[in-house]
Amino acid sequence: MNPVPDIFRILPEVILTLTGVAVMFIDASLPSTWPRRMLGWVAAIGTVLALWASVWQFSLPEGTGFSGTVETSAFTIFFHVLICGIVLVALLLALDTLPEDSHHQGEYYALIVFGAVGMCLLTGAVELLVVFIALEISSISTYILAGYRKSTGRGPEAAIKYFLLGSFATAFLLYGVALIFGATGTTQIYEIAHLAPTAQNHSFVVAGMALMLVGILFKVSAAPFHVWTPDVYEGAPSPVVALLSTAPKAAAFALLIRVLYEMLPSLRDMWTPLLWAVAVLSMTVGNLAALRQENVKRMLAYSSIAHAGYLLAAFAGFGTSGIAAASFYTAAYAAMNVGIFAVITLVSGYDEKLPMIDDFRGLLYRSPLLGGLLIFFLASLVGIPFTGGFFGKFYSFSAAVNGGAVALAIIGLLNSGLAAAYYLRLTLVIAQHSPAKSDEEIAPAPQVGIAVGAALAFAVIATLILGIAPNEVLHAAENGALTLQAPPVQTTSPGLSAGQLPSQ
Amino acid sequence: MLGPLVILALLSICGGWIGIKRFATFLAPSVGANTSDTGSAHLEFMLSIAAVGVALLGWLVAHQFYGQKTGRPAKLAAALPGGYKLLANKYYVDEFYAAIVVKPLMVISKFLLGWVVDTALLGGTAWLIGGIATFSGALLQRWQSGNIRSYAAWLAAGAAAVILFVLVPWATVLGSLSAIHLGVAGQ
Amino acid sequence: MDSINSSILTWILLAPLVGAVLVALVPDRAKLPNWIALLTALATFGLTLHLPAHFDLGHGGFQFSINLQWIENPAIFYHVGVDGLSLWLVVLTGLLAPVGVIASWSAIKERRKIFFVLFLLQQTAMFGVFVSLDMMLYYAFWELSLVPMAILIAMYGRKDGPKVALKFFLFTFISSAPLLVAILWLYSKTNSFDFTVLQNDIIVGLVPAEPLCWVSVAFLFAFAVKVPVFPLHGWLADTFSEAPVALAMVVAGKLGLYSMLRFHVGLFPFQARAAAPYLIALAVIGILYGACLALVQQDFWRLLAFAALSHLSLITLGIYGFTYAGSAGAVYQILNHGVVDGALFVLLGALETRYSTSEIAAYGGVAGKLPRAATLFVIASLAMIGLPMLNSFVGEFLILASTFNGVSRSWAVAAALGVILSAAYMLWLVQRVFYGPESELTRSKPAADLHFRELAVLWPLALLMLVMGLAPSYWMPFIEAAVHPQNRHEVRYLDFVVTPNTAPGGGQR
Repeated sequence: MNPVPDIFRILPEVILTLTGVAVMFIDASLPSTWPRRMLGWVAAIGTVLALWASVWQFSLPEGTGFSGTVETSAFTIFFHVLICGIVLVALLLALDTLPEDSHHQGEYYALIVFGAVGMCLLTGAVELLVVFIALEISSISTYILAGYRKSTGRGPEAAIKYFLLGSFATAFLLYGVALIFGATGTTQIYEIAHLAPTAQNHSFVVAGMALMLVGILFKVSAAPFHVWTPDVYEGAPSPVVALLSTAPKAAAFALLIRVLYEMLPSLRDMWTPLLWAVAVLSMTVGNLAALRQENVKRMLAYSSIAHAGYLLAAFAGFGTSGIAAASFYTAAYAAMNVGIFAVITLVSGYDEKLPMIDDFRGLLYRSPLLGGLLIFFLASLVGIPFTGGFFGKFYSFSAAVNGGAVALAIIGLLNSGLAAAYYLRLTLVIAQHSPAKSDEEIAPAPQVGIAVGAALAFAVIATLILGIAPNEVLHAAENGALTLQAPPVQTTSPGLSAGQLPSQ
Repeated sequence: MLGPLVILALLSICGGWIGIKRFATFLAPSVGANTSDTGSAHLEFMLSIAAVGVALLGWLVAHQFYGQKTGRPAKLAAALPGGYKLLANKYYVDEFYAAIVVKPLMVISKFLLGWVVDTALLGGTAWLIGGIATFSGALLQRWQSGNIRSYAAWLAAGAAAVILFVLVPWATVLGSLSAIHLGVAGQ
Repeated sequence: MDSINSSILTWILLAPLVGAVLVALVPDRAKLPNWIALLTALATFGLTLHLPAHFDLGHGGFQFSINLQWIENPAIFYHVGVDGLSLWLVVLTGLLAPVGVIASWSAIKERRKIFFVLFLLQQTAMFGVFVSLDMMLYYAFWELSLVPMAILIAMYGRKDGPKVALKFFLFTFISSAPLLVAILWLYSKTNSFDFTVLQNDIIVGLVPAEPLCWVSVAFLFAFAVKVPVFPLHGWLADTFSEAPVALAMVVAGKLGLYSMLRFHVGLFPFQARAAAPYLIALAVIGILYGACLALVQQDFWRLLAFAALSHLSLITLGIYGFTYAGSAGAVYQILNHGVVDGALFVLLGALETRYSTSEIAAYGGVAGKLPRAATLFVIASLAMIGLPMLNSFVGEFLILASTFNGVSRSWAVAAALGVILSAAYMLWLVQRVFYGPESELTRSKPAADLHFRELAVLWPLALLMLVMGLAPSYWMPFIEAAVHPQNRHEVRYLDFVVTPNTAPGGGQR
């Protein structure tokens, strides 16, 4: 009945897995004195292939494989491309910034690629156990990556914190899956969508949803499940944070969209106010706590909490408009955040001898390129027009207003005003001339290598395109949103389409 | 000072002439404001003559006093010391004006408006809002104890809050709350 | 000619951008960035002059317009165009660009490339605000205009740059957050960001009236901070005393006032009328408050800031008096204020580069050393005071007379007091700085009189003050076409004539 071979449904994942295995094999078979840098290129090439495979999946008819456990649709392809793009940038960034003498480079690249497998699978999975497995694949890779800098105490500390809390949160998710399975007798998302509204133990479904949300909201670092974020971001190496703050979040948001809009649209009345509250809390907590932060990475950690809040605001929107807005924001946020962490990696160095805001003083004159790029990405985070961040916020809040959540939009935009305070503080420090310390202490202008240059160019172009000509990406997001409905044969709750705007 | 004065003088010459004819068209939109002639042309002419006459008289007297017979002012001053002093000080109008208008205005502007309103009230409000934001930021940072047990506790508390949030039947609760409210209002 | 007419606004928007890219590419040697910036500014000014030359007075509505789709969903259009209201503001912005470059010529000694790149970017943003007819496009330019300003204040601030830049940015950025929500809300009701479509839909009543009131308040609030209107002027004095001269002269006034006229009064005529009594009261308070505080400032930038508060409040009074003459006067006065403030900023900036202080008490007897500067400063001050035959007289007279006859006599008298006070603080400033005995500073520090390039911008500005004072009839027809009661949109639609001198808020609903 399904002419497409199952393997094509997970072709990008397959390619990524093969790449990861290849990297590990080569790493193990190379003499220990040989440089490992080329492994990064192998991983990058594999990622490009996976990216191409994701795009190629457009030629497949929409549908599921492996007995209805994974799906290919415009929605999954959107997120596959996004995640592969982020991973590619993260690999290019690592190529030039990992210390030459590191003998663990091979495992670094392999872990990134394996993490990508999990994240990609997470966006394509339509069966809750596959979801769980995918989540674990991606999480375990990132736990290890977070502790990659073993020489300092902070690296392992970050990894342990991330691992323990992450496991704790995943346990909630699993418990939620169990409850939903108990109530509906299935773990297939389409079937749950069909059965949930009429399930006998309806409160199990509700509790299951709540517990699943705890697990997912932890992954996107939304308040009040954000406590791990600043510590982990500070302890993990910057190139890892570039990945950590974007790709797993994108995957988790894809999962959130799928769980809420596809699996449980019937509970919309329950999750909308919940996400409303979580969104407001995340923005406010993130922005307020960032105000006084002196460490740049911690500040950006809080900023990412706030951005999770802005993104969750899109969930107040109905049907396709909400999904499209959330997808678009995920892409915009990924582009600018990967970019900003790339610049910070270059400026602070891998060992992060210069992590404080004051260390960035006069960057614009020490290195006009990096200073300018940092200002550009900060402007995008503020949401200045003609950058991706502006349209991200714009779509998100526009979806919220369309869904009737005007108060949420107002709180969100006031929050983005508040956020401007700390972004601007860093911007102005960068543009300030008088160096705080004597010239000897200031690091020489960092060199931008080819790989990093490509990564930066990628991030800048993506941010600019999303800000100036977002039509294509928006189309892709909307097409994805349109495909995100449990197949009509089974579902009785068609979700809320854009046509059903409430008559406020 | 000469340059500006010359410009002013020229402007005042031109000003008088242009005012007569073109005013109505010149400020056409304010026709509603009705700036057209309030008196007859005859009266206007007489007034102009009188004004110019007084000015000429003043010039003549000054010329007499200070230009030709320079000893006369001193004699006059000696004859009428009180009157001369009054005149030399311009009837003390400036002093009077300074005490009644300028001084109080400056004091009010500086202290009441400048310090109390602008700096204390308006600046203080902005400062207070900023201060509240940074202060609550500092409070929020205390969440970040770095202690993994407290983090786990936060996580658990958050989960409990979420479950409570979805399991509480908000519609019913809100309904009963509004019923109470209505009940109170009804009494 | 048609193709030029429809693309001219795009060229005006692009020209400074191209200049900015060029400045970024050339090496920072031999004043090369300055020259490129100057040429760009002059070329842009030349382009803006095309507008009044080819403006068709008989044709109502927007001209030189172009309407292309930018983003499909939500439908955001690249819709630009000018009418009599924005026409001269575009030209004014074009005129002040070379003035700003000249004012920065020797004041900006280092990091000139960054300065001029951001300066030119600021130009594009300001042009964009004046010509955008799509609310999102407008909002984009509105926000964009904040960034170069904030960065330049931080970089070139005299004492406390970053702090003041932050203050300026937060004041204006946070206040425009509700504006964006309001625009989004309007879109959710009308499915359009287009100004003309929105204007129609609101009048027709497609938009529920109750929330519309809040929407109009959100618009008003954003604009009132930007103008600024008392008591939202907290950022003004600090910004004036820290910002580089070229940017300080454009930071206040025209953007906010234009937006009030176009997007508050223009989109929400009835709500604006309802809000008018409050705004009139605030405007009159602002006139007197600004004037009083200007009297007691020790620093001439701060003096100029409070003077600006006073004068901008007067314009606000003209806008919200809802009289024909008042509106026309207000628009004219925006132009006057731009010209006069531009000249004053250049002159005081010239003084500051020569004597490196802005403390009034340090000066005295400068006229002996810098006679040409003194002459020009006196002319500009007199223009600012509203001396007849100079430009501000026309605008102030129209506003005050129409307020007196059409709004309220007592408010008009109070506002007129502010005009008297403006004479006091300006002339006193002239006296303390330029005349009197030479101070220690003026005696000890050798200073050359104005250079050729400074004179080259100041004399034309002075001449313009005179011409605008003597022959407002050249400018007025454009403005009148835009603000004439019969051309007011709501009037055309509802097909009844609002008599010019109706009291605000009375009987129109």
